[in-house]
Amino acid sequence: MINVKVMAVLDLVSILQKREIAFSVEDGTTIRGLLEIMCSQYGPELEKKIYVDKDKELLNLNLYLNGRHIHFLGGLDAVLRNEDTVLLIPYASGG
Amino acid sequence: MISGGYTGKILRVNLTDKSYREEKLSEEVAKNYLGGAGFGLKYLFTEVPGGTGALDEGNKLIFAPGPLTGTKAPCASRVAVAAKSPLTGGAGVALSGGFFPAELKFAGYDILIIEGKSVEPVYVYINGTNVSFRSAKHLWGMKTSDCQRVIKDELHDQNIRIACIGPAGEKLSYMAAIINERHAAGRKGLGAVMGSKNLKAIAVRGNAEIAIADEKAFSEARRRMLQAMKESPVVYPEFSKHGTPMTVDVTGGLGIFPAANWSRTGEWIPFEALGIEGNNKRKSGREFCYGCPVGCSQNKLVREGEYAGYLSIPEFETIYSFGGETGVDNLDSVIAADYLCDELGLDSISTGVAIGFAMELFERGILTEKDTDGMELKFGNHRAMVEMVKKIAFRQGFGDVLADGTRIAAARIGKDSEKYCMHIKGLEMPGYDVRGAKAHGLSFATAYTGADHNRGYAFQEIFGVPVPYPVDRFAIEGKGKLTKWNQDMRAATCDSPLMCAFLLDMAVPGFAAENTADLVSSATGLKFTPEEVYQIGERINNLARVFNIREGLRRKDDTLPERLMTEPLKGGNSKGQYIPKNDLDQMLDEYYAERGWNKEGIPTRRKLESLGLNECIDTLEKIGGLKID
Ligand code: SF4
Repeated sequence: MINVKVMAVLDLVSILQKREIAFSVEDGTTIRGLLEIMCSQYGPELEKKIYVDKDKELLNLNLYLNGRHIHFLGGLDAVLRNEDTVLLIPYASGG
Repeated sequence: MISGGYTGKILRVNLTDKSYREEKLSEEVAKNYLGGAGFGLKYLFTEVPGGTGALDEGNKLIFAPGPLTGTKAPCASRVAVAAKSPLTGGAGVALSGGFFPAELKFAGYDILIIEGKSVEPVYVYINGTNVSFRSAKHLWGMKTSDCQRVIKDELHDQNIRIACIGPAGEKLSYMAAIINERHAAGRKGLGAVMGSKNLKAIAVRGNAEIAIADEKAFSEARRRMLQAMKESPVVYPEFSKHGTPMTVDVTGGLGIFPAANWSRTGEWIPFEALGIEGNNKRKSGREFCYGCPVGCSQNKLVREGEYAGYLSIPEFETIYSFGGETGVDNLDSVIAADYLCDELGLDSISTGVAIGFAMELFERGILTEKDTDGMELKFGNHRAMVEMVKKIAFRQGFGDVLADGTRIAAARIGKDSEKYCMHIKGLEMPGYDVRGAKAHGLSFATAYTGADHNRGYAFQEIFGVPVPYPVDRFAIEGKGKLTKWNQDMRAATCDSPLMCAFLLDMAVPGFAAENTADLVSSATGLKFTPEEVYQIGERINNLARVFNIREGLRRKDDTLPERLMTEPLKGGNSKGQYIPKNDLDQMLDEYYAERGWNKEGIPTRRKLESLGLNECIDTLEKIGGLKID
């Protein structure tokens, strides 16, 4: 098993009821796998926040692995390592 | 031929001899510069000779709305204010929203050029084609809301729109803003330029309608934009509900919300206190700019405690500057400081950063209570922070040391304090620790106005918007090309038509140039292709560059504060990131090459010719010792 940290901001915090959550997951778990675990724990409200579509391919938010956007790390199939931080940021704007 | 959008008129007001005249807007200027910042910079370049002091009589203060301002195009009530900046010594442009910009168009003008200097305090009243000069002796010393109220009362017209300065502008603080309603053309010290002319206010009233050249095409273009806003994942309800304070949470998550004068970014992230959670608790209605369906400006009211009764609209940048930057996690005090900036006429970003800078010097023992009028100016001391805003505006005691920004303060204080100064070209840094957002950093380093997030916002890095393509915020490669795109697109589609920049990344990023081309062409009757629109952005950035070169700015000025080049971030989701000098040089080389500038950052003849900027070639040729390729 490996330990990963999930960090969320904006309205995800009220769904997760925490800004940071620690997860222990199987070795070789991908980001997609981690999101599945999270959705099974937090239900359809979270699922709706994460995915645009039923096939769960289109994301409704930005995901970062150790600060880098997952687009540059293999997307949802990026494999997690021990002590990784996964950051979830809902679409936002206005700076 | 111009047959709508523009009013076709320029108003030139001379404060020295109290004269004014109308001039015709040339179609060539409209085609080449579009409006807003483009117009402001064009007239500044042509009419303010090189070497003019920012507070000299020869500097001009130019107000330019855009061809879309005052029309039914959404979110277009904006005005660009341009002058040589006292803070940077280069081209200064700041934008403001609200109702004043549309009113200036209704009064009949595409551009208002203020020149000269009045001997005594004065305000200018523009009522359609009638212009009068009125004494402002009784207004001198007034806060901005009082000034606006008194002028409305004495002119017996509550619907007049007014842009004015507060005590900070009167006292020529280089951080002084120009305030209309509660909106600010805040940055680059343009309020000091207005103060140097003894001009307290400009009161405007008009009732002309802005003609539209092709109603059918215009309403189709408008419909498409409104549809894009509706389909945006962000505009409704998120942005209209939360406004810019959302960005505290986003930058906090990314580990780039600056903390304690950028010494603790990523290690201290006051999400609950300063993010939407804290903001939503203080919400008290919202405001809309003229013709905007979004209404992102959120009133925040302090309901209890020592700051009870203060009401303001603290945007993200202000929450950064009076919150993160000063190590203060008391949002009530941020609201109070923001209110005071609006009332006293100060730029909240520069003011907060100047206070944060002094706090770091105090913590390091470079300043002591002897220097700070007995104040314990430590990070987190919200009472001292609020007190300092007043002292700066009135140049009282230690406030006078900070009143002209961090660069001048560091020169006054000495003791190696410059290395804790967070500015570029004299303009204080906005709220993004660009060690974790490299294109954003490159844009700050190269923007013609100094450390300005509004001249080329890298929304790809901050909000993950994959337009024109996805961007790795930590990478160095490709940032020159991206920065050119961001700066030119921003100048062309926001700063000049004029259009609220929030829409660029939220609603129209994929077709911004087309959107502007369609709206402006149908409104004005002039034909703009998307390619021409984009090229206008490029022309504006090149013209501003040559203005700055004429004023002595060079490659060495396209830099970052020392801290960002030597200290990696110690915590958060950008831990370990920084921009060593070599990386900055690499990005600069790529950026200059993309722009068609030489290694020194001087635009080449070929580039300037291709943009029709032959007057810029003449200017460069006259500068001794300059290598022009
Ligand atoms: S989105 Fe906000 S800042 Fe932009 S025009 Fe509308 S109310 Fe004004």
